[in-house]
Amino acid sequence: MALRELKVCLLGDTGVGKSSIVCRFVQDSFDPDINPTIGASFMTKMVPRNNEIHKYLIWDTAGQERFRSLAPMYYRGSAAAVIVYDITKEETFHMLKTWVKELQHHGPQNIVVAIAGNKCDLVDMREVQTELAKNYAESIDAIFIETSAKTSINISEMFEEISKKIPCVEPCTNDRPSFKLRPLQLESSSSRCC
Amino acid sequence: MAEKASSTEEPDYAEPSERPAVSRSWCLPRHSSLQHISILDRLILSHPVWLQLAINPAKAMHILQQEQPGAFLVRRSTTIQKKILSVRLFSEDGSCFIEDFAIRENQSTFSLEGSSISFADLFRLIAFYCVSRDVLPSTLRLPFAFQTARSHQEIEAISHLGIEFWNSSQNKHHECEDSGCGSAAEKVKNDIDEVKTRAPGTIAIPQASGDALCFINPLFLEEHADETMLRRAWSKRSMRRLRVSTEKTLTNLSPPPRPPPPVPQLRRNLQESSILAEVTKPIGDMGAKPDTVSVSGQGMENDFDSSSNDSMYDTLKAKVDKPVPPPRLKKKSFMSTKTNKINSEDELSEVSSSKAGGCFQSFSSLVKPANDYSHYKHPMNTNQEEESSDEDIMALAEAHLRRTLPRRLSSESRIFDFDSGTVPSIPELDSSSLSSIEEEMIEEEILEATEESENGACRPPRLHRSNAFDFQEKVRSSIRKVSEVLQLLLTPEKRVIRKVCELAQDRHNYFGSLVQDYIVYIQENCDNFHTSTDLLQAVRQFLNQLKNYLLKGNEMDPPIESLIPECDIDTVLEKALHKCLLKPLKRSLEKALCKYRSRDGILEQLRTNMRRVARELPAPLAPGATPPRLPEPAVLEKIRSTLTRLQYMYSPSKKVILLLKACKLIYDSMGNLGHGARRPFGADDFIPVLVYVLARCDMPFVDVEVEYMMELLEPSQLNGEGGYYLTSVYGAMYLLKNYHREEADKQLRTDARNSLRQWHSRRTVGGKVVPSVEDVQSFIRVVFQDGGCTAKTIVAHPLATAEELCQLCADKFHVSDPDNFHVFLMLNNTYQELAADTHPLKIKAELHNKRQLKPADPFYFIYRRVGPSSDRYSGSSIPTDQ
Repeated sequence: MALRELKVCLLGDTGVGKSSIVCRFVQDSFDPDINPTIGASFMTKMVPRNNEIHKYLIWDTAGQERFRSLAPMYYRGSAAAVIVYDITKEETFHMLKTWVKELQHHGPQNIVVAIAGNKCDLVDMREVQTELAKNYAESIDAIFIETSAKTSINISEMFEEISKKIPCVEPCTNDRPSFKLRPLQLESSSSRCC
Repeated sequence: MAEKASSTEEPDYAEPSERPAVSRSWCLPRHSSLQHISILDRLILSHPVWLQLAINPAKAMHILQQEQPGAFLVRRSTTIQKKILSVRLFSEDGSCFIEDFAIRENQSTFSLEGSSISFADLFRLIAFYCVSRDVLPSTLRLPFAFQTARSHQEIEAISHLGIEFWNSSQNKHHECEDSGCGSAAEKVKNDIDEVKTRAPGTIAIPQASGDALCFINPLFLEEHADETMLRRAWSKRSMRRLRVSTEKTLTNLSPPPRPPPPVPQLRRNLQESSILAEVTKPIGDMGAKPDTVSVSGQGMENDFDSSSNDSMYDTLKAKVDKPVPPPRLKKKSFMSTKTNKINSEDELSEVSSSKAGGCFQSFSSLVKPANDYSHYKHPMNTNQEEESSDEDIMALAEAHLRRTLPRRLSSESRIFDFDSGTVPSIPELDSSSLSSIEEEMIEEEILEATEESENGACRPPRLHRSNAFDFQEKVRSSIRKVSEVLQLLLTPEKRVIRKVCELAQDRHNYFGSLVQDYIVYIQENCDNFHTSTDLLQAVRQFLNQLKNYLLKGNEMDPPIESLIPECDIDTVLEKALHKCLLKPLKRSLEKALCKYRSRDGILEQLRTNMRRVARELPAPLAPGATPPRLPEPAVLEKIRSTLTRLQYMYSPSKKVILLLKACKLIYDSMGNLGHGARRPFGADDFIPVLVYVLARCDMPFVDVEVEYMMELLEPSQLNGEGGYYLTSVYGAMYLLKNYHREEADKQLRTDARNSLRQWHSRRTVGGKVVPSVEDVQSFIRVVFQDGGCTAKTIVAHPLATAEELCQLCADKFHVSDPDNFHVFLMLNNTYQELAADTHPLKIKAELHNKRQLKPADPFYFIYRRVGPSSDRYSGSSIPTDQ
């Protein structure tokens, strides 16, 4: 199977749970020891998808105001960006909008944007209504999903959506495995003569 | 060798009636020189003929159709993106029959699909299948012309034909010459064929039950898959040992290779040893019976089946399972084998034949070669019980050997020595400890760099100077010792790296002159670029071009695809180019980078800001609920020393490894939060700590290193973990540099974006656009003759005329009266003035190409005064037919 590396960049205010989402996504795998990374700010995970293996290289960014200016270095070359906000804090949703604008102006072309309303387990403290966020996401043609890193809701679903939306670079790669099943027979039968 | 031939032709046992004829047809004319070329050497030298990666299946079939059974080609299938071994099989009814075997390339090794034996490179794989069929229906054989060639020159001469060889008159089949025995041979082959053609799947592999087909060298079996390093590195030595052992047993203990009747254990074991000898014999004399393998293999299998409760076998197996000792050789023991040649050869043969006591054991002994060597030199140190259990067999074998063993041992073993160094194609051997090659390389590099940097500018205070120095001395001397001893160990990767470096050193080839010219060019011009980034990007671009050139050109002989699995080629070339280009340039580059920085006042600024941040930052560091801990002074010191090591490396990839170590130290020191849920520390926590730690370390040179890595790393490497932390450190340094600015934030965004755009454009340039040869041709080295003699490398576009070059030279050499100077080409000790409208760079390329085909005298471009000179004639063009 073809291995495809996908760089995914995480944006969003500090404290919205960016790294928690990644950790949940990465560590929900069967073998938690498979990811011997240095720290939670860079993680990888492999997921099989349509005859391909997608290897997510997840780049976390610092959300504090002071470090916001560094973001371009991180989202450069990304196939997808996940912008996270906290449904219990309205200002994080406003911040999300500035991130979207920034990406639209300076981000890579064809970047897949996913908007994740995190902490959806805290229903009582909700400040951002689902409809509002959903409409906004539709208006910018982004994936929208409400997640909870704590209770592991919709985490892998979100990445699945991203995988679906990422254009297939080489359409021919889909054909490969069907060849690979019997490569030798094909070859040798053609080389037999008489 | 005549002796040996006669011993084979006068068998002391009954043979089937066809046999003498067959063996005569297989017996090649034996000349001593013939014997000096091992099969591996023959394969390496003849690769232009059988290694045809570009041809399609139809062509391969067409070629092999005409050939004898066992003939083979290696090509590459575009359908499955793998190399394919196409083998001509026996035809049962006169029809031709070709079978393809895919070659698997993973874990840095080559193996046939369906086989569990893997090899360090393609040549070793083919060499093995020339003597043992394993999953193949028969052994492979080189064309007759190569089997009989008596010198390297002869083989090379035939190889020059390339694919044309197959149709040429050189490719005569020996059956035609020896038609008298052809039919008989054919008959035997057919007989054998019926027995042996089995699907690969039906061949039992010893690891299953342990009692079938034990002649497979267990060195390569998957049960030892975890010892990949060991396996790779030892494969060379084991091949050699294998040959030595078989040769010894062969001459003396050759009973018929047929299934023997039930015999006492001891005897049977000896017989098997001779079977082994048969199996491996063709290594020594090429073109010998390829079928013996299958016959004996069959016999052996039966034999093993019939005695499953073999206690001897159990003990042998037990030994195989023993842990493998560390593969370090004692220098002493190795040296003594060399000096007391005859003596130790004797002992070696003892050991080998004792090992051959059970074939499994004989081969399994290869798994622990270090043990074996020490085994006969230092019996005290090694497994005593093993020796005693083998004693009987040993004694018997020894008796046999002693009785008949002539003095020619040493010469014979030389014949089978892959590593004798007589072959120019096999590069000299490198060495390194197996246990921690990576680590040692790093240390080695540090040592070199430390020496170099003794008087280097822009150095921060070195830490633990005296200790480090002692340590270096120790490591250096131990490396030297190890390298003397482990001459034989060299992975294909190292061979390729060494080969590339040799090419790069040699001005007589195009690649070498290119690299050397560029090095000179950068050393002279590194201060003249607009920014430091421009300088580094130019170097990176050149690295890409060189890599492409090596991949596409034919400088590498044998082709790199035959030595390195395809997925690793890029990495290996990158490593090699770092070594031959960045290593000599490192100092100049870093000096230049420092210069650019101090010119702009950046270093000073950085230093001031770092101190300020170190004072101010900790308080507002972490606005989160649970701030991470800051590193303790001890950890800080560790981080500092790790970062210090950065500047002793020339390779950006190794620098990144160090950077990752430093980041790991920071992460570890942040600790886990005890209370509540263990919130993972993401970038929100890490980046502020990183900025603070870098400020506390107070090492402005890290900025230089980060730029070096950022720009010189292969762009594709910037996406992974190394890329992430490199970006983070880069970002942190950026923040530190701009800390003082009032609107740092705003300014930064634009700055960051600008540099970002640069990266982006470089990526597309480096990745997509394939550089043409023209790109690398834009350098020309001109010698300025005016009383003295100075040479400089000049950049000119590929189509620059001689006139333009004259102008460039006038500027470069500060000539006051340029009208009186002109560019000449010096070739064969004659000067030719280049006409104004000729293109010197084209001429250079043309001459280089010519020299690649056949070695010629060196040529120079000379810029000198036009004056009365006897040896000058005004010719405009270069004589093309020399």
